[in-house]
Amino acid sequence: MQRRCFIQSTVAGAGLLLLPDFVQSSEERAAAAAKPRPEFYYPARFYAKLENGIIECRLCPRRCRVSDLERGYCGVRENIGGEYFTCVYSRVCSANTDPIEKKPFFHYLPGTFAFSVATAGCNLNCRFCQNWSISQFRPEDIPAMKISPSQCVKQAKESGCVSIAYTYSEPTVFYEYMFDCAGEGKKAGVKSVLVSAGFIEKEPLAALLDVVDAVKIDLKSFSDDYYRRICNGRLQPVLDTLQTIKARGVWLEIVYLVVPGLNDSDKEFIELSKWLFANLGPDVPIHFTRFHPAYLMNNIPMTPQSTLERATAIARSEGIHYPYIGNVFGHREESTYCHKCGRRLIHRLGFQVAENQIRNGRCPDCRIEIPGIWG
Amino acid sequence: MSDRNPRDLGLIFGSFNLGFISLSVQVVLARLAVSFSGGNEIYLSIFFFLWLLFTGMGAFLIKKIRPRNLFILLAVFVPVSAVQFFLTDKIYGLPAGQLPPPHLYLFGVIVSLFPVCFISGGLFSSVAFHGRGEGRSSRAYWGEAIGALVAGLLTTIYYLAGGRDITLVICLAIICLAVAIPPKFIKVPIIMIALFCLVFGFDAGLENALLKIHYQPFKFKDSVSSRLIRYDATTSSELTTLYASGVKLADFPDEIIGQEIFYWPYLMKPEMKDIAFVGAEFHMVDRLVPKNIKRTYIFPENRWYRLLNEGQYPPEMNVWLKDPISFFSNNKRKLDAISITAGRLLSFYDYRLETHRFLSLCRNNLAAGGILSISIPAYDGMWHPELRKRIVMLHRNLRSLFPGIRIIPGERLTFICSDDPLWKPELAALLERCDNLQLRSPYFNGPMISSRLNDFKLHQTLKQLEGDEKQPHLLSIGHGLAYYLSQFGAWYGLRGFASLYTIVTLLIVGIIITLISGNFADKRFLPLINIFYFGICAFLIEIIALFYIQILGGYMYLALGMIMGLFMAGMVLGAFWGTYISFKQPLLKIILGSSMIPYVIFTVLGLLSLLQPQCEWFWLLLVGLAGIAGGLGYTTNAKSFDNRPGLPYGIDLAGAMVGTTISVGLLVATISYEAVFLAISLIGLALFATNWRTRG
Repeated sequence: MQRRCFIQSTVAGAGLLLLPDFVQSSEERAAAAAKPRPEFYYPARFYAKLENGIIECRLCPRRCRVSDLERGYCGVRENIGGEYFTCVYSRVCSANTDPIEKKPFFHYLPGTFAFSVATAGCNLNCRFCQNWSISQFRPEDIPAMKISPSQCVKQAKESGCVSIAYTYSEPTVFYEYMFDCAGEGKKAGVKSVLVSAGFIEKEPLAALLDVVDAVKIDLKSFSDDYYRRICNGRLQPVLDTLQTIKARGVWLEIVYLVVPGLNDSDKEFIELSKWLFANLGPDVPIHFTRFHPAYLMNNIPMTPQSTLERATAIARSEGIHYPYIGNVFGHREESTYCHKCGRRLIHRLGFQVAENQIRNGRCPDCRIEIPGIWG
Repeated sequence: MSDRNPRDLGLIFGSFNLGFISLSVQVVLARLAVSFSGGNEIYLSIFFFLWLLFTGMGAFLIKKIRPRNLFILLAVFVPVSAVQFFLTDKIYGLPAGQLPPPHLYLFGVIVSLFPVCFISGGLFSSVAFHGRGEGRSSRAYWGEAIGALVAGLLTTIYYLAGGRDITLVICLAIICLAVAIPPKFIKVPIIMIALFCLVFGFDAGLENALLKIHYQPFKFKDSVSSRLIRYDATTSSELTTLYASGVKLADFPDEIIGQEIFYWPYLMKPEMKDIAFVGAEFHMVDRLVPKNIKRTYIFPENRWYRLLNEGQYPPEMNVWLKDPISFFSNNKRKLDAISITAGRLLSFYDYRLETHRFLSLCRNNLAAGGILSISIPAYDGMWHPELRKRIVMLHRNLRSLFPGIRIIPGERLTFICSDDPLWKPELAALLERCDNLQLRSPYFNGPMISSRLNDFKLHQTLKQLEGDEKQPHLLSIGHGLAYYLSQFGAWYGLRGFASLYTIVTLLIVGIIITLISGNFADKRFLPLINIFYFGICAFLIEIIALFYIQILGGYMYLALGMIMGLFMAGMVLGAFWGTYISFKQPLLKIILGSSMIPYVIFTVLGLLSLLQPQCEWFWLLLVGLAGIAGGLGYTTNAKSFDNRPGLPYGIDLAGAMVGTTISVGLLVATISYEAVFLAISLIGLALFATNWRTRG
């Protein structure tokens, strides 16, 4: 045998070894399409059918075009033979009983607990995500339990929670499950709070606001460049979401995670505060939260306390009534103070409410109304 | 009678210089590349793979260029490559502090290594061509091995003394220039200028300037090069952040983690009289520990102190500058409590603190009724598969050592273990104790304890801990790499590829190729297959030894030069033997020149691996043996390639590349080493049979 001949036959042999894989994968695809719908799959909402079986997802501004047997960017919505399905209906990968202050909601039923649920998947890819271990994985990769909407409401009630929080990962991607849970909850007297990045289309948002009682939006930054580079998203849809929520009169709080070196300049704090004041008014609480390194951003320092204090001072000077500092346990600015007389109304220690002085939604001293939902 | 000229000093010196420079550059760039990959040692294999690929390409493609010109090119590209590692994230627009994704790492390493490796590969070929007489390739190989051996020893001593990477880079560039420029009157001023710059700290200034750019937008404070690794510090307002070779260690001050680390074991055993902390930076816990409790901090080294404010130093008398494994192996005094704080699992250095071996050492150091606390980042119960695997394995290790374990779920998952099977403090008792001890900080308090230990959370955690993740072998675990890649969603495809099916297929293909390689009309094909096989074996052993030494002793960074030097020492012996000693006995010639030695080594290794040898010297010895086999195999087989000395060298490096790929791609992640050792020894046997069949 000549060397050339040997090399040729080796290459041909290797090609033959690989061939069955390709054949098998196309067969597998065909079989998958014919299979009955797997567990946790549920018809999705908000999509349009395009040509050649392609689907355009209209749940979030990403508007993924999804071919047959493929999934959108979030990894949890799948096109099966021209029909669109969510793969995470009732597929809960995390369920906890958390103080509402952990979400954080400071002006919404303080001192109560929220039954907090999440599924896998997210429509953003924030490099600093604290919950990346569920948000950046496909549902098949993560252990999950089946909790139907009615079971979810039941569990919330049994664990003494007044609300269900859709949180941890991005609730937008498990929209159908969240919507049904909130609907069931409404019937049973359990409230629903949404903890989201706000990267959602207007139509699904409008429908959702009919069933949820409060919304917390993570405003990652006030720069589109940051959204694109660090989160793989865009700023404008999030700002639109904030305005829609405010206009609908649903209780809204905002979290701004201050990441050192990336979104902590005075300029950004000033622009943000001005926009909030002009578009949402002075009474929407904003939480400037300390960043603890996570996911791909493990190599940067945590946020200095002085940066957070600078942010709240700027927000206050721009007319925002309720700027808070988050994730700095025991800090003075974790507590709520009357924006008129300055009296401490709610004394917080970490996630605990040590003292609540608000009476009938008003300051006991100056009697001014304190914005929020208090009971 | 051969016309070999053993006094061909031009060739010997040229190849010596090449070996010296090449290995030193390899050591310094490997250190920089590992820090670029977030401290993940497994990435070293990719580094070596690319190194070998480009060097092989250089040896194969460059036939004959004046070595002097190539040395001048090296003098330019070595600093450029090193500087590139400092600035890669900036060059590729990576946000500050972000872990580089695998493709960027690969790209960065390719760009950095290609010129240096290609030139040094070409140098081998060119230097060998400038030699006279028969066996040029073998003699160049021998000379290169001696140079590399010297470089390995010197770099080890250099780093032991706390030398800086950039200093070494400057020195190497100067040596290249000095080698390239013949007249003495130019050489001397070059060396004088270099010495002047080094003595007066020009190198430190340069490295700090590079680090300043690297850490932007954070304010770079200072850096210090220590025995094991380089430490840097940045400041942002009131915080100082400490980095070990570019990987963040801790913020100073940070109270929250301290409370997590100390208060849980304190709550479980308030009567403790002493406690040892591993991995807990003292500033986090020291002020929390009551004065009547004696505390011990165990750090591998302390040169990083000078990067902090004095107030953040621990009390000197409580600090042991030792590797934790070494400390607990030699500690005579029993302790009431040991607290281990594990980091993100990115490297073998972290992993070694979770092995059964280390945990049983801890247990041996506990007094009767003592407790061991180990806490790891756990994302509040939201575990992805790699994290779950890690935690289940740790839990399994702990269960096999401690009958009583209390689990504390949360952002950090803490296991508190006791040797008392009846030990199970209940929530009510802990709350009462918390009150008695007056633990009422805004972070750590009664409600926090209740929320962490509520039944729902505990049940959820225990459910996730169900499973039978085994720890079959110290190394057959790729957590670091798997964890790293899982962050980019890139792991699962790779794991699908690395299966037993792949191993068996490769084994069959390997055996078939070796068996039929004797049938080729071109009789030089079999020697090339032999060289290829030696390349695989030698590098596979070297890489495995590196990983083992890191897991067992934790000093891989320090030992990089020493391990490579040992390998080269073996290679010098082997290459000398193969080059200058003629074998009269055909059987002996075949045994030594074909694959018998690697076959024996791998068979022994396969058997010994079952016993999980835990002595570092065993691995060092093996590295030396692999070097001897490699040198002997190369020089015996390369003699018929005098007209093309780069060809066997390139084939040798290609084999080494395959060795590095096997060591990581297939082994570390999924399949135990025993299976691969066995596979390689079988191929070795087949190769020996082929050599025997075609003898004469």
